Amino acid sequence: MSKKNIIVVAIMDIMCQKIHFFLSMIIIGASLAIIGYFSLFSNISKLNRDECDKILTKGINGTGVMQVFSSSNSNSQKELIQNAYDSGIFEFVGVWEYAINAFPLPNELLQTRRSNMGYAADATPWVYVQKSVFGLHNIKFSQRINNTDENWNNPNRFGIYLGANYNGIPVGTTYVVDRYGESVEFEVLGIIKKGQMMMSSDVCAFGRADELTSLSILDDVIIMVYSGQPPLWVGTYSNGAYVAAGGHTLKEARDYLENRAKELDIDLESGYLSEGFRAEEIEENDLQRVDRELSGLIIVTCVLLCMCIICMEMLGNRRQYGIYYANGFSLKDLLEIQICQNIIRVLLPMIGAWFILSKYLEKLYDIPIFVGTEGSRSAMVASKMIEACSTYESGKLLAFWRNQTALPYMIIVGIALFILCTVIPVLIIGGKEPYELLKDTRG
Amino acid sequence: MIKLENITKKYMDDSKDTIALDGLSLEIAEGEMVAVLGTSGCGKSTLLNILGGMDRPDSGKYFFDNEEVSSYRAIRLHNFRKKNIGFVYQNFSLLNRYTVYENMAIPLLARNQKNYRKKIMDCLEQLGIAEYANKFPQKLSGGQQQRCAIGRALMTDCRLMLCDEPTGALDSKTTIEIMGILCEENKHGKTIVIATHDSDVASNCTRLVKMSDGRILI
Repeated sequence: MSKKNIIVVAIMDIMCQKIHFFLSMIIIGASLAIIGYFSLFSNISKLNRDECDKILTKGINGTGVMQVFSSSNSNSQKELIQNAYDSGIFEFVGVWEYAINAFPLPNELLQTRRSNMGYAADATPWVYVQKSVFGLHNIKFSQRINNTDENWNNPNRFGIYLGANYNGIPVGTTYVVDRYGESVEFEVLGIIKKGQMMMSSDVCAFGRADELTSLSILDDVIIMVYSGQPPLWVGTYSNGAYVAAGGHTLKEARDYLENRAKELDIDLESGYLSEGFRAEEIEENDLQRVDRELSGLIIVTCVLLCMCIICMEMLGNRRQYGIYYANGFSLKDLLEIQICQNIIRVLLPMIGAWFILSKYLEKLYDIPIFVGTEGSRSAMVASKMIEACSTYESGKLLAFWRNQTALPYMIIVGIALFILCTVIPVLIIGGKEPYELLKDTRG
Repeated sequence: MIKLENITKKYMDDSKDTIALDGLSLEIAEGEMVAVLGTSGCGKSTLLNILGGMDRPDSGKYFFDNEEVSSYRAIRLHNFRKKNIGFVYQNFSLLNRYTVYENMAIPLLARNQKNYRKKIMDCLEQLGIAEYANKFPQKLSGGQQQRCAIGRALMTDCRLMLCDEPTGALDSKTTIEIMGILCEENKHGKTIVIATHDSDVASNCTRLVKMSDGRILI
């Protein structure tokens, strides 16, 4: 039988059993959509870890984190940090935190932000960083003033780095803002290259590494470089990260830091960034297990439902196949008709589910949630998705969803469905002699 | 054309063997119109199924044009069926979800025939049911459905037409009409085997074969 005639008969057959056929298409489509949806959540922590790992100079395993709590003797804290620098064991001790309302923003920058980000502009923080954080995160600049030493000595003069979306502002622009009756100057020291990311300070705060909002895209962010003599600045709950230097190991660096803190009677917590992520993974495990089990349940249910529908359909129509046999169809023809029908039955719902989910995710990005916002993770799936979307560059998350989660999951299930739904019914029919399918004609 | 040698066929019914054909031997020449007469369950339909390649004998040999069909594997048997056989059943075996036209098109699609619309319409015209081409079979009378079934068998350009109780569900007037169509086809050279328990139907045929308990009496 020619391929054209196979398609003609397959379509005739579909049109004759529209309800069954479209019901199975809806079940397959809905199941694939749910599988695609859950696949993102099952892998979001992997994305989180991979992305964080990518931006760090020495990766997650090569980075230590510390948190210094304020104490009555701030000098001893300064001494601790100074000692750490002087020891030669440490490098890139970056300190950073969000300082949303700590400083008044120049009006011009506020307006630019509003035009860049719409009504979400108010949520954009200043990120208050020590200069070495740039090195820790491999942050690259499209423009930059090299000599900024003068900024460090003037408490009323701050250096600022602007995200890529402020690239209309020339480097060297100075803003003057009134603060407590004093004029404070902000000088644009550089424009950050597009798409640069920085890890949230929360990741370094122990026990909070489970935030999905662990990475911030810096395109809309204003980074204020810490003013004052580097590297010493210790505030309440200051978070920092360190890498080992001078051929020392991270463990040696950590031991030194802890011992010195003990000697100076400083309340300090230190550890490895990898511990935080491990804690995140352990915490995520339960949620992922539920996701996996739910996805698995949906897959099995979907396969069984479709199998039942198709097998019942084939068995219910066995007289029809007997008539096909009697009129010159072969088992191969029947198999090809079934393949043709199942391509439509599986492929169309897969494309449909893909399209709807993609649109849904894209729509979520339109929700003006601040990029890199902080907030606790909700167990609610929707909240989680919104948080996840708010964390990453939309294109990156979509690409991750498409290429690493939804695509393989949906294709594997789709192929499994296709094979099972094609082969099993044909085996049922093929296992019988043609006359058996027309039993009611036996005399 | 057809030669059956000592054909045996058993079926397992309720865990006991039922002998449908018991050492049956038969020869049919090309162009014959043979009536296989017998009571219900005597093996008529089984004989037709074996002749048509819809079933295989347990033992014995079946020759068609001197080729042993009983030794064919599935694909060859399918090709044999496709090339030589047309079926007409008592219950018409029409697909109720397809229109009369679509039912007629099925064998032509299986045989990759092109431009079949005219062929179908000519046949429907000849059978007197052209006006029902776009109707569904259940909307037609028994006689009209059987005409459609015969038309579908004719679409195959088969050499052997096997009719299993073709008039079993029809009234006497319609039976005469249907037998008229079959006789006409036989006159055009088609070999026809009709399984029936109606002696009036059998009287229209050129040869009578009586069956009982899976054996041929005459």
